[in-house]
Amino acid sequence: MGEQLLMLGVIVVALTVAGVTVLAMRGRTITMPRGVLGRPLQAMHGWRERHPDRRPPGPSRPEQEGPAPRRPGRGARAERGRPAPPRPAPSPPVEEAAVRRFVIEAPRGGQEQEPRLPAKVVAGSGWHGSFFHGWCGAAGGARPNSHLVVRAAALRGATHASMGTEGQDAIGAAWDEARSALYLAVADGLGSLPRSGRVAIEAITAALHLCVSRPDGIAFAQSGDRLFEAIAAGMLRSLGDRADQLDGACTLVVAEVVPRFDGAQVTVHGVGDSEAWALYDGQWTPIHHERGGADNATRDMPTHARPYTRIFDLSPGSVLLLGSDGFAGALDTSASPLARGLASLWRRRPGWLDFVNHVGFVDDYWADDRSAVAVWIGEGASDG
Amino acid sequence: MTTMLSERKTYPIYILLDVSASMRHSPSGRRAPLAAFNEMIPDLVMSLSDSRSLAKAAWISVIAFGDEAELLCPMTALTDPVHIRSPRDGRQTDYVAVLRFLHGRIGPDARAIEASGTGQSYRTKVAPPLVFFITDGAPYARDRYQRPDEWMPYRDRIVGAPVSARIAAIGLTGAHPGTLSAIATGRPGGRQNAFIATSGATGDGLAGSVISVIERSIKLSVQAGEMVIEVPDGMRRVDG
Repeated sequence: MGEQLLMLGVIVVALTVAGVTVLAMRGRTITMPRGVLGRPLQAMHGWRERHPDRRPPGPSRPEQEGPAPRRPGRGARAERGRPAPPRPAPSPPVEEAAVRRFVIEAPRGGQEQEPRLPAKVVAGSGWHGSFFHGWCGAAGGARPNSHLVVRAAALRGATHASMGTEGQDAIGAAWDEARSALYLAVADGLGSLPRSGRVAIEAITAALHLCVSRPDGIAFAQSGDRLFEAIAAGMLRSLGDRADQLDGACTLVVAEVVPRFDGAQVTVHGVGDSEAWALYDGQWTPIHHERGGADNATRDMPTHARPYTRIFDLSPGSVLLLGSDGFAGALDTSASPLARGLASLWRRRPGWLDFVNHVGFVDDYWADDRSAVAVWIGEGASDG
Repeated sequence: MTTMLSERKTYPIYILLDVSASMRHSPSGRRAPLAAFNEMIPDLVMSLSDSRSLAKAAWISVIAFGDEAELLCPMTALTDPVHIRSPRDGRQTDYVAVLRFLHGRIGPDARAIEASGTGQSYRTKVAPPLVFFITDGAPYARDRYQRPDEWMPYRDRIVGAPVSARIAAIGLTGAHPGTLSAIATGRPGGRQNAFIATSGATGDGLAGSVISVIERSIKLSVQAGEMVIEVPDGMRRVDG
C-alpha cells in the first residue's frame, strides 16, 4: 500500500510499505523545542548489568562507565582536584509539542495504529533521510512478554547535503520470531574513504542476516567475535578489490533485545564510535561508548573485527538507543541539552514523526549524518 | 559513575604560503601565483565562515614563509572576523624557519581554542591540526639548500604524537616532488597527500583550483575527522 502526502513543503513524498517508510525531505525544517528542562537526575533502579564487559586488550581501549551509577543529584560535589562539570543553564518549561499531523480522516479510536515491525529492514542516509517504526514481541505464552516499540531514523547530514556528497550512515532491525528476539544495528561510514556508505549498508545487512540465521546452539552474547569477523570477511569478499583492499570502512554497533515479562535482556556488541545508551527514569547511561581517544581515530570495520560486549537487563519503561556519533555524540550523562531534552520527551514513546523531529534536532554544530534506533521496552504485553 | 560531558571537536587549520621570489614570477604576462593566492585566501576564509556548521568547528591561521616565517593571521575562530595581512616579499624558502614557527604556534593555539569553550555545557576537544603547505620550490635559505635532516625533525614533531597534525603538501611549478612527499602525511598504508603541478599548469587557474580543493578538503576533513583531499585540477599526486 502506498500513499503520498504533501506536508507544507517539509515532506515531499512519503512512501509507506508495510510499516517501512522512506521519507524524502527538503532541508531539515522540523524543529525541536529548545532548552528543554530535564528532570532531576536519579539513580537508575531499572538498569543493571548482568556480566562484566569483555574487552580485548588494545591501545584504543575506551574509558567506560561502571555498572553502579553514583547518584549525581543536585548537591553532588566535584571530586578534589577535578573541575566541577558545568551546571546546566536554566531552561524554559518543557514544551511537549508534537509535530502536527495533517489529518484527512481521523483514525478509529483517535489514534494511529502502530504497525508491526517488518521481519527485516535496512535503511541508509545516502541521498535522503530514511526511517522506520513498528512494534514487535512474542504473541503468546503463559507469561506474555513485554512488547517492544521501535523508532529509527537515518538522516543525511547537513554537510553532505551542502556539498552534494553521499550520506554514509545505515540502520536496520530484524525481528526473529523463532528466538523471540529483536536485533538492531547502526553503522557509520568513515568519511575519509569514498565507499564507506556502501560498506555501512553492507555491514547492517550482513549483521542482521547473521544474527537471525546463526545456528541454535550459539548464543548472541558469546558470538561477538565470530559475528564481527564474519561481517568483516563479507565486506572484503563482496566490496574489496582483487587485493582484498577496501576503500570504505564503518563503525558498527549491534544489539540483541530479548523481551521478557519483566522488561528485556539486552546484549550489545560494538566497534568504534557509534554508541549504545540506556534511558531509564530520566537518566542516560552509556552501554557502548568509545569516546576519548588521543586523536580522532576510531576503531572501524573491517580493520578491527573484535567488538566490546556488554549485557544488561532493562526494566519496563526503559529505552535502548543505538546511534551514530552524529547523534549520540551530543548525548552525555549530565549537562547536554540533547540528553536532558530527550530524557523529558522520551518518558513516553514519541510518535514516529516526532522521533524524526528529535533526531533532526536543531544545532548547527552537529552537521554529520545522524542515525538513531530506539526501542521502548513495554510495560507489558498489552503495551504495543 | 563519573560525570561525562559531550564533546565538540574543534579543528585548527593552518595555511602555510610560500612567498619566495619565484612565487612572484609571472610567466607570459599572466598574474603571478602569489598575487592570486593573496587575493583568494581571504575569499576562502570568507567562504568557510559562511558555512554555519564549519564555522562552529574550525579556527584558521595563515602563515607566510620566505626568508623567515610571518604570521599573517593568528588562530581565529571562523565565527569571528578574520583579518589577514599581506605578506612581506620573501626571497628564499626557509623550511626550517616555517616548520619551527608552526610547531611553536600549535600549543598556544590549542590552549586558546580550549579556553574559548570554558563554561559551555560541552567539552571542547582540539582535534589534530590540518595543515595546507603551499610551495613552489625546494628548501633554500642563506644561499644554500636545506638538508632534510635540518627540517624533517620539525616536521616529525608536528605530525607525531601528541600533535598528530595532518599535512597536505601542494607544489606549484618548480616544487620538488620528493620534498613534497616527505612533508605530507597520508593514511597508514595509503598514499601521501602530496600534489605537484603538471607541466603547463600555471597562474590564476592553478591557484584557483588549489584554493577550491583546500576549501572542499577543510569541509570534508572536519566532518570526517581525518584529512580528506582530492587532487586539484592541473596537478597530480606525488607517489612515493
